[in-house]
Amino acid sequence: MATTTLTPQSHSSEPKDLQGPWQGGDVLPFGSRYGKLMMWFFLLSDAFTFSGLLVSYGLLRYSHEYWPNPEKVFSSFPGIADYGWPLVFVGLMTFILIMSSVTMVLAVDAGHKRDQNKVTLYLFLTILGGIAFLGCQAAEWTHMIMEGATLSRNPFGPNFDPANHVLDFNSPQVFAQLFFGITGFHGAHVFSGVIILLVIFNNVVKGVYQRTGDYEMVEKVGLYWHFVDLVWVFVFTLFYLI
Amino acid sequence: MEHSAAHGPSGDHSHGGDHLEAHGSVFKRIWVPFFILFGLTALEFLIAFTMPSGLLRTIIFLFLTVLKAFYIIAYFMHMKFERIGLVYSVGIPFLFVVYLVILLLVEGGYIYNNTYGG
Repeated sequence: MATTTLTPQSHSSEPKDLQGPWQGGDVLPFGSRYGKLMMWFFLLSDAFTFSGLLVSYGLLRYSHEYWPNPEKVFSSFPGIADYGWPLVFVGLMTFILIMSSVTMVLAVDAGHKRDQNKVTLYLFLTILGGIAFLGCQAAEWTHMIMEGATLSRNPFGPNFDPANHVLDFNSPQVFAQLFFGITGFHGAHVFSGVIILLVIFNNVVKGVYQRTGDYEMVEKVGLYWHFVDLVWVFVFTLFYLI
Repeated sequence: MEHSAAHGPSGDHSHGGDHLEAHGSVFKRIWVPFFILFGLTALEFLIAFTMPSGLLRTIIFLFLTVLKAFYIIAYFMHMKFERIGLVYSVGIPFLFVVYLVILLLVEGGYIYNNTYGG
């Protein structure tokens, strides 16, 4: 598409073969434009992927008598305490992700008002939040790997005691696999979200959307970013709280 | 190309024109949902530290999680202000997930009883 703006009217200037019954560009299903709708349906399919992973996690957990206690497994605060601080670090990660969601909404809102400086500022803060979250996750993974968790070994059995460095491998071996797999898949989404945000940030700084007067691209990447936050809400509950 | 500021970035659709005014102030659309999410998360931590684990606690956690998901989707992802058709076409497929959860809860119970007896 050669036109710079994606308003419905722009299609009438396109070649004849793009008009007619299969063109459909003038129609706005549900009052939304193509890109935003497709983002929603991509997120729907992605949500099914995460649902599949999380529901099978639920099945495995539900059918085991013993399951590692999250308050013991996730009790470190990397860099400060190796154990004894249950859920504090993951609380920080949750807070970072919710805050980055808020700055993302503020960026979308500033986009509606076509305030380039504010969009730049809020997108920058969102990117910082995403990077901070990834850093926290890297620290947490490192800590778990140092404790002996691998994709096929789970050291968090009933006798696991982080204070005295006692590992107990007599526990569901799939726990660490599920933890690394699901938080890793979520982290991969955060990572690609940061990359997409950087691309959009670059466009915002260069004034691409200011020229076209259309900040919908910020809105679309915002949908993706909130989805990542949404998945984290479920990961947080299912892995760390229950 | 005519593309007035009043119409916002979404072109001429039904609620494009009154986009900013119709959905309340920034405080109501962004900060209130944020404080609700923050409060619900704080409540989850409180419950995690004070309540013994059990079926009731698990149900409370799942309920709070779905509530948080509602606020993220409705306000942050703006779903509350989209047309009902979009809400249905994205929301209804999740009945399959509900079905899968029920199916695997039943199967998980069977595996548990079969493994540990009782």
